[in-house]
Amino acid sequence: MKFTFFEEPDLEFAGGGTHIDIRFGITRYGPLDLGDLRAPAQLRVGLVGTDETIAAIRQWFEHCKPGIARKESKLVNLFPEFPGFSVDTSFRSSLVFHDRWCSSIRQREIDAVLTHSDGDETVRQSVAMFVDHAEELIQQGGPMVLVCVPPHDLLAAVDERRGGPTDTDEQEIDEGSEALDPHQPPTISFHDLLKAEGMRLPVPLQMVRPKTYKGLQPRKKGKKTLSVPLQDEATRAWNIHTALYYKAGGIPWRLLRDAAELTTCFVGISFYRSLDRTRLLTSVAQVFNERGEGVIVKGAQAQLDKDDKTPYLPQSDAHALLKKAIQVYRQEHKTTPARIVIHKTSRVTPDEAIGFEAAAQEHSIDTVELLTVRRSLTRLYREGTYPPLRGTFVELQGASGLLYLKGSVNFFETYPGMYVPRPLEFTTFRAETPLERLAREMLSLSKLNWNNTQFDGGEPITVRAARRVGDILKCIPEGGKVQPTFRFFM
Amino acid sequence: MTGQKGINLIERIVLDMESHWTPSGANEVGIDGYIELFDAATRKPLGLTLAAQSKVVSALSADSSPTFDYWCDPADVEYWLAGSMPVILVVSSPGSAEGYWVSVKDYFKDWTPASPTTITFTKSEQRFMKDSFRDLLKIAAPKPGLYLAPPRKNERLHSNLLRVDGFPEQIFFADTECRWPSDVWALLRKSHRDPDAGWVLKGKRFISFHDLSEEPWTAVCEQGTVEGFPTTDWSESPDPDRQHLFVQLLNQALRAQLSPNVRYWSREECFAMVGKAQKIPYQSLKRRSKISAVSQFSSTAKDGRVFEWRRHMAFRAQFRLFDAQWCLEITPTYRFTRDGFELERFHEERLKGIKQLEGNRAVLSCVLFWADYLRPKHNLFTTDRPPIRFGDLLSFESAVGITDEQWLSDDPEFGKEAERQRDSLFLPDLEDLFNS
Repeated sequence: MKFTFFEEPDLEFAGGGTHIDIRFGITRYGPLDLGDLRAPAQLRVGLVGTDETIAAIRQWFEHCKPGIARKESKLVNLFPEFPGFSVDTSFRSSLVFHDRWCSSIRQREIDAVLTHSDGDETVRQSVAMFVDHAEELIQQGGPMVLVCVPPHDLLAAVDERRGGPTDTDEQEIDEGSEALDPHQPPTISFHDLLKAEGMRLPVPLQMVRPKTYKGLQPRKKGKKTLSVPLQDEATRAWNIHTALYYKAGGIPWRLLRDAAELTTCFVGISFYRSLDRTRLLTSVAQVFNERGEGVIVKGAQAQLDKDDKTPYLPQSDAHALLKKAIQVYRQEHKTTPARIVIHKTSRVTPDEAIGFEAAAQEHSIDTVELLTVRRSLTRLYREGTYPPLRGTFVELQGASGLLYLKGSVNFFETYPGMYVPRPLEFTTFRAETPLERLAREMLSLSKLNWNNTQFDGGEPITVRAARRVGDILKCIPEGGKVQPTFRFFM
Repeated sequence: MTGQKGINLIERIVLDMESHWTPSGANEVGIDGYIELFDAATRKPLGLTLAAQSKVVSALSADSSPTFDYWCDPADVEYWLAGSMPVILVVSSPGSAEGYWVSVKDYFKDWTPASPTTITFTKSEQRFMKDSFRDLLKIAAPKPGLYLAPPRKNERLHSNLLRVDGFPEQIFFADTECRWPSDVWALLRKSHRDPDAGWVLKGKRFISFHDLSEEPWTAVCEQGTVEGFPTTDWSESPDPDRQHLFVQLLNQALRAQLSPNVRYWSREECFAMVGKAQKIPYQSLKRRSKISAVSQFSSTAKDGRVFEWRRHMAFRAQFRLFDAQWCLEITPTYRFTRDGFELERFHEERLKGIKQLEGNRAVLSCVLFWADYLRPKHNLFTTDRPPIRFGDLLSFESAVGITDEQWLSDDPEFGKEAERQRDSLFLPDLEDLFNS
C-alpha cells in the first residue's frame, strides 16, 4: 500500500490568475469569464415571494453590495470578507431588480393553501403557487434567474415533514447501501419539487430561506421558539451571489488544466428511486467539463443484481445512456472531449463496460476510464487532535485507492467539518491513467460545487450532482420536461 | 563581539526556519539585517521581508521572573516606525542562546515622542525560535489569503485495518440434513456442550474451521462425508464466490472467538461488550491504559423517576482483502442497553448524539482498544489459540503533517471540544498515550 499527499490544486480565475481558494481567487482576480460577452455583468433578478420577503431580501442584497466585513475570528482564511457585488468590485457584476420583475403572493393565497390542504398536498399546492407566479412574471421576459423567497410560516408547514438536515458529507453515496424502509411515509421536499416544477420555465430558480438574509434560524424548543445564529454573513453573501452568478450563465472559476493533457469530460452515473420508494431505480448521467458546465441526461430503469441488490444497466441501456449524454453535451458545448472518465456510484458490470465503451467509440472518443466511487469505512487517524489532511491518498491495491477530500485543511488551519471525516474509496474497472492521477482529478473535481465557495468539498461534482439531480428528477412525472443543463438542478 | 553573537543567533534561527538572512550594510544604523521568508515545504520565496534589529543583554537566564523590561532609545523607535517595512526587535543573551522578540510597529502602534519606550517581554510568549515563523508571516503579510504547503513533518497515520496474521490451516466440509441454522442449533444444544457459532450452512453443506468428525459436530454432519481442505484454497482464491464464502466463515469464527464477553448483535450489525460497568486495560501506542468498556449512567426525570442505562463499546467488522493480505476493518460504535443486554429505548438518539461528539482522538482510542482486545493474549493458563490471529493495525508514514498546538492556539474551541469528548466518553488522556 502506497501513501501519498496531494497539494491543494489551483483554480483559474480572470486574466489567468490562479489561487487554491475560490473566495480569495475571485476577490483578487475576478470571475473566470470577466470581460466575456456572455458574462452576466448585469444580473437581472426576478423575485417571487410575499411583499415582506421581497422587500427584506432586496434590502439585504443592497446591504451586501458594498461588501460585508469578515467574521471576527483568528481563522482569517476560513472566514474572509465579502468584497461586494457591483461593477466596481471583484465580480464586476451587479444585481438588477425591477418592480416589473417582482411577483407578490398575497397572504390570503398562502392562508388558503395552509388551511385547506395537508401533508404532501400542502407541498404541491405551495409549489404550484410559486411556479404560477413565476410563470406570469417570466412571460414578459427580463430576469436571468428567479429567486423564490417563501415566508417563514409557509416553510414551517412544508419543512416540518422532512426532519432535520443531514450533513451531506456523511451521507452514503452508493445506492446499494440505502435500506428500503417500507414504513417510512413518502415526503416530498418543497425545494426539490419547486425545482422540478420550475423546469418548465426558461430560467433557473434559486430558493432563498429567511435564515440567509435574516441570519437567524428559528428553532422550536418545547413551546419556545429560539433564534439560532447560522453561518456568518460574509459566507452567506459569498454563497448566494456566486450561485446566482453561475445560474445566470456566468462561469466563476474553472479547474486549472495542463495544456498537454487531453480534454476530458467527467461523467457521473447514478440511480434514483421513484417518489413512492418502490424498487424502481432510474439511471441518470451528469456530464461535466473542467469549467463545471454540466448536462443532465435521464436513462432507462436499472436492474438489481440478484446477489447484492446493487443497481446496474444492461449493455444496451448503458450504451444508450452514455451515447445520449455525449450527444447532449456536444449540442450544448459544441465540442467533443478526447477522454471520458466515468464515476459510477455502484459496481461496474462487464456488460455496462462494453456498453459505455461502444458509446464512446461511436463518438470517436478513444479513452474511457471506468471507476466506482463510494464512501469508505476504512479510515486513517493522526496522533493528534485534528483528523488527516485533505489530499491524503493511500493506494490500497493496484486498482483501488482511499482519498480524503474532507479533512484538515492547511489553508484554513483547522478541520471545518462536523464529524470524523470519511474518505472516498474508488476502484477502477478499466483505466489507462495511473491511480494517483485519477485521485488528483477527483480532488480537483471536489472544487466545482457552485453552491459552496468553501473549496473543501467532500465529493467530486460528478457524485455530488448525482444526489441533487436524483432528488429533483424523481419529482418530475414521466414525460415531464427535464432541462438539460446543470444550472437548473443546483 | 557580543553584538555579533546576537546577530548570529538571529541568523541561526532564521536558517532553522529555512528562510534567508541578509545582514545590512555597515552604514545602516538601526537595522541589523533582513529576514526574507521562504515556504519551508516548497523552498519558494514568499516575497515577504522583515527588518530586524538585534540587542544583546548580559544575563536573561539569571533572572527567573517570567517577564523582563528592555528600554529602547527613542531615536531607534522613531527610526523603526518611519518606514513601511515591518520591523522586529530581538533581545538576546547569547551566553544562554535565548532570544525574545517583538513586532515594533505593533508594540508602539500609537507611539508619540512623548511616550515611553520600554518594552515588557513575556518570556513564555515571545521566545524567538523556529516556530516563530508563523507569527513573522502574519506581521509581514497581514492580509489573509497566502497559501503555504503543509509543513514537512514526519507523522504516523494509523488505519482501522487490523492485519489478520493467521487462521486455521484447514476448512472442513460435510453434508448435513439440516436446512436452516435453527435446525443446527437445536441439534447442537442436545449434546450438552457449549456450542459455538463458528460455522456456515450453505445449501446442504456444513462448513467450519472445526474438525467436523469430532463432537459436537457429529450430531449435525453426516459422518463419512467430512472433507478437509487447505484454508489457502479459499483465502488466496481470486474467485469472488469463494471469497464471499470465506468472509462468511471468518465472520462466524470471529463471533465464536469473541463470545461470551463480546457478543454479536444482528439487528445493530455490530459486536459489543456485554455485562456490567467495567474498565478494561489495554496496550495503547506506547503504554498500558484503561478504557471504560461499559459505563453506567443514570438520570432523574422531573417526576422523580430514575432512569439507568449502560453504554457498551462496540464495533462493526468487515473482513477485507488487500493485495493478498486479509484485514479486519474496525468501525467503532456503541450500544446502549438498559440491563447489559437489551437495547435501551433511547439507543438511536444516544448513538446519534455521541457521533456528533466524536473527534479524531476519541475514535482512535476506541480503535486502539479493539485492536488490542482482538490480538492474542499470552495466557499462562491455557494453550488455546484463537482460530483467527490478529496482528497490528496497518499504519503509514507521512512526510507532511500538522502542528496541532499552533492551530489550536488560533482555534481554542476545537481543542476544548476534544477535551469535552475525552471527559464525556471516559477516554484515557491521549497526551499520555502519545508521549512516552
